Amino acid sequence: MGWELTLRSPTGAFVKTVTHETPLNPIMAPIDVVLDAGGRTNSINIRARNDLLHAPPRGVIEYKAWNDRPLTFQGQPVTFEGRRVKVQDNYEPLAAGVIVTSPPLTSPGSGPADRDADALDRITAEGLERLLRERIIGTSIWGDTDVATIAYMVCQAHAHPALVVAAKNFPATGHHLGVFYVPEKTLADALDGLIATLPNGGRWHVNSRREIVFLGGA
Amino acid sequence: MAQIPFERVLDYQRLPIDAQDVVTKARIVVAGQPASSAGDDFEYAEDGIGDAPLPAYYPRPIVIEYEHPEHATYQAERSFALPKGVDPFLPPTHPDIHNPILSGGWTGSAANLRDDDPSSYVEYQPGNPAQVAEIAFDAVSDARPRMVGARVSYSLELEDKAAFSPALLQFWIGDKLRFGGGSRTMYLRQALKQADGAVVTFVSLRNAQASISGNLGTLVVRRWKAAPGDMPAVVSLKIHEAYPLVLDRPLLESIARAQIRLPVSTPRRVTVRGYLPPGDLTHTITGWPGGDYTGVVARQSYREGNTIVDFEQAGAPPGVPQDALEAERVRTNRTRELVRAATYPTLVGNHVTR
Repeated sequence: MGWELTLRSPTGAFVKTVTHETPLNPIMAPIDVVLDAGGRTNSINIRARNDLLHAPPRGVIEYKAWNDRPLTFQGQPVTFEGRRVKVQDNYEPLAAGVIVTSPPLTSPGSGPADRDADALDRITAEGLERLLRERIIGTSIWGDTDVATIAYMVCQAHAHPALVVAAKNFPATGHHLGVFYVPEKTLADALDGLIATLPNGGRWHVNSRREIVFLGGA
Repeated sequence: MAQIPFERVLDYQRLPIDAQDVVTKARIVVAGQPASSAGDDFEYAEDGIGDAPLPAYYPRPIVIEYEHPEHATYQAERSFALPKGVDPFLPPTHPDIHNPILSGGWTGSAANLRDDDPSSYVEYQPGNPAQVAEIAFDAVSDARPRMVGARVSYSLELEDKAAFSPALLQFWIGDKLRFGGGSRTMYLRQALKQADGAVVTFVSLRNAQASISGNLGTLVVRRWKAAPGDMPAVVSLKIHEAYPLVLDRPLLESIARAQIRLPVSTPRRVTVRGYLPPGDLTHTITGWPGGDYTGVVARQSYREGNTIVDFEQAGAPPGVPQDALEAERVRTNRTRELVRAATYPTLVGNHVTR
């Protein structure tokens, strides 16, 4: 099994990547990831020496893990230059989140005398949807177009810089909205409101590649 | 502040940094969407430019925001309702509020309109044939505090009370709008509600979507919106107060600044022998390895003759695992988000107290 943890600054700038092969590895135990239905990250729990990892409060992390398996073709093992070829069973990040609990950057982790070792080692991240709950949308008036297009424009204007807003993740819903004006709402509430206007509902979330995805119901 | 020698320290432990409730930009919503349209009506003046279609009216919230320098790092923004009981406007006697300019048949000193004395007034001359009488406030430029509305107190008495119709006597409060490549003044009409001589006060805020930012030009209170022949005979029309509402920025910014929450850097729990005074906001531990340590007390608990001090940020109560505390906070935050979503109309509704 292999894994890769990408650490970004609170604004999404790349900081470092730690893998299962990193020497003097700061990760002290298997990483626990919980996803909700549809790929929305619920939580990522990491036990680490933060004096080595340097994960800041509000840092953004992406976690990828895979198992290697030998490649076979028509039942025969495949070799390359005499060695077995291995492939991974996953090439995509599994989860991404924003750090909400972390030890101080100088924390060397827990020792046997520490009564609450969990508190000294654990880094907890929750889904990046949190970043949409901390953005207030402005006073622009949107409308007279597809609901997904409105969602795309609102996200383009107001999404947190750590998130990725791409038109391909906002496929047309086929439903137009005349006027959308909700000043002082959070971006998350605004997307909820747009989903609520769709006859068949829909959902939005932030996927493991930090992309906001807005999907109308079928 | 207690001075604690390091010899009294029995135990020391780092606490995890809690970054759940970070706020680096706070927005104080003074007023948002109108809670109702009762008594108000919107109308465009006739002095516009060209035949550009008139924009629909969308109120823009009146908001003061404070951005902490750390916002560049954390980008955590939140809106807050104006705390109950706070007057967000400058008092009428403030030097930034000037005397209005009267025209169209008023008697009395314009200073009476902003002296904060309800017994003083200016009076409209009965029999004046003018259709429009104006109380015009200063034009406001970018360099001057920006008006967001007006407060008016009046008393009206008619010869024939039965002839009173709200459509005949109105105040108009103007707001210069930009659209169609030009600008027009849009008026919020406010009908005079009573004609029995009682003092009536109204406060009108307007901040239209298309308002020319920072330059509202003229803010005008008018009376008479009727053909002269339709006007009922006035016994008395007194204006006791009329002044523009200008946000008290220093006050509102201080309220916004108080909402800022940053993650702490090195929260720690220190157990000290003996009892420390309960009221101290900071303690200094002298002789701490690397130099004396002075920290802000976030929580202090006493157990078996010792004092457990959480510096910078409170951890879980002694004996309770940290994750239990976090689970509780997650539940609390989830509930708060639900309440926040459900009370959105309250947040952007009117909270004006003056």
